[in-house]
Amino acid sequence: MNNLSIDRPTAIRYLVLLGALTLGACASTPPPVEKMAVAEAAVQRASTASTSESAPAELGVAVAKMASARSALAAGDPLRAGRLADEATLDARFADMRAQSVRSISAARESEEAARVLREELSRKTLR
Amino acid sequence: MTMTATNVSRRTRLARAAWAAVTFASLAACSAMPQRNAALDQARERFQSAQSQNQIATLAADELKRAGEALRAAEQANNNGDTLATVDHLAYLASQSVALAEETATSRAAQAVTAGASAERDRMRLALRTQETEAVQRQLAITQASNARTEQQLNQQLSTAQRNEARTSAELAETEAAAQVDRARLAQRNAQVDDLQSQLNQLNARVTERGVVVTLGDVLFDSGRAGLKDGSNGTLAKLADFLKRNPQRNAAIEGYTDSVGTSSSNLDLAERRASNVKGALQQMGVPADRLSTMAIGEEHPVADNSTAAGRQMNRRVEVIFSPSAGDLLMK
Repeated sequence: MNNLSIDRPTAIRYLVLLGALTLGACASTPPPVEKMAVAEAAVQRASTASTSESAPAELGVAVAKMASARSALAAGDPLRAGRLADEATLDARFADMRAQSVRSISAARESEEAARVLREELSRKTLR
Repeated sequence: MTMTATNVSRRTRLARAAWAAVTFASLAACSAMPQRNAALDQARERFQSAQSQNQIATLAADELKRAGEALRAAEQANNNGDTLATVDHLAYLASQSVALAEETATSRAAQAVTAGASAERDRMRLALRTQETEAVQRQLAITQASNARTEQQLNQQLSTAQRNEARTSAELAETEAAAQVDRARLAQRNAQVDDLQSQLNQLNARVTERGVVVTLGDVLFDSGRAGLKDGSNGTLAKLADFLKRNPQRNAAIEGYTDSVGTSSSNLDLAERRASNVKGALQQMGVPADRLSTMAIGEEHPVADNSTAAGRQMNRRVEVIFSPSAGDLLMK
């Protein structure tokens, strides 16, 4: 064979191989070791009793996402595993912050109430 | 197989077509025109909404910036024609980043409220304490003013008491001085009286209802004669002295005799003797206008003429001093 002439079956096999390569062409996928570790740590940090109490839904999302990431890695899809891990990290931080804001709002209400009570006492004493 | 012209060109055309298709597919995969992606649109909308909220832009600026970067990455991937999975993934990251910024802002806002309320409580507690302190101070000022008034009153009372005491002391001193003057006068009078008493004692004077009487006895005269004997000077000097020391007194000189002889001759004798006494006193410096004489003669005897001793006693000259206030005290 010369002058780039290939037979049909070979050409088709080549096409399939290139197609396969093309699907993964725009991003290289190393094993997502670091991403998984970061995600695991973030989800662990978020999994406190108070966060479970104040932001259960958001924490659930992060935990489920982490599980999905592990499954994807086990299934031999490092790219997908890495992405799910990144998302789980962000979900965990979000759950953390949500729980924090719930607690802060509660504390704010209490302190405003306390201030109101004190204000009333002060105005009573001033009137005397 | 032998290569004919037509066989070669057909295979080559097929190969070239295959290559072209693959290349196009490859190129298409890496750089297609940006497709509409719902997740990306959502992420973009969420970001723009968050950006417009002042609270988020102020309180979670860093978090919002990171969300913006995540959104740009997602947009970039979409523009590059990346796979749907890629774009969706990056859009999700962007969306969650915005959510994180929103939640951070909410939490920090609530913390600011708590801090503000805490600060206000501290301010009010301080105001309450200040009020209480001021109330106590006002009470203290009132008490102090009251105490000052009481002290002033007590001081006034004290000074009044002191003035009264001073006045009483002055009055007492006056009274004492007056008493002292009275005592001095009394002492003086006593002295005078004592003096008079001593004088009278020296004179052997008697205080009678007629006044102070000094009796010059018979021994001063020779018998039957009017002339005063030499020894009489002492007694007469005392008389003269007394009169000079008591210028308010006058002296009445009365001559007496016993009953021997005629009454007229006795009168004559009495007269001459009285005159002689007056003359002697005058010589001693007593002014004449203070001396008067009277001849009594036999009348008013003081003793019994029947005895020699009695007759001797009747032969006398009595000098009567006019009374003075002190005489009443005389013995």
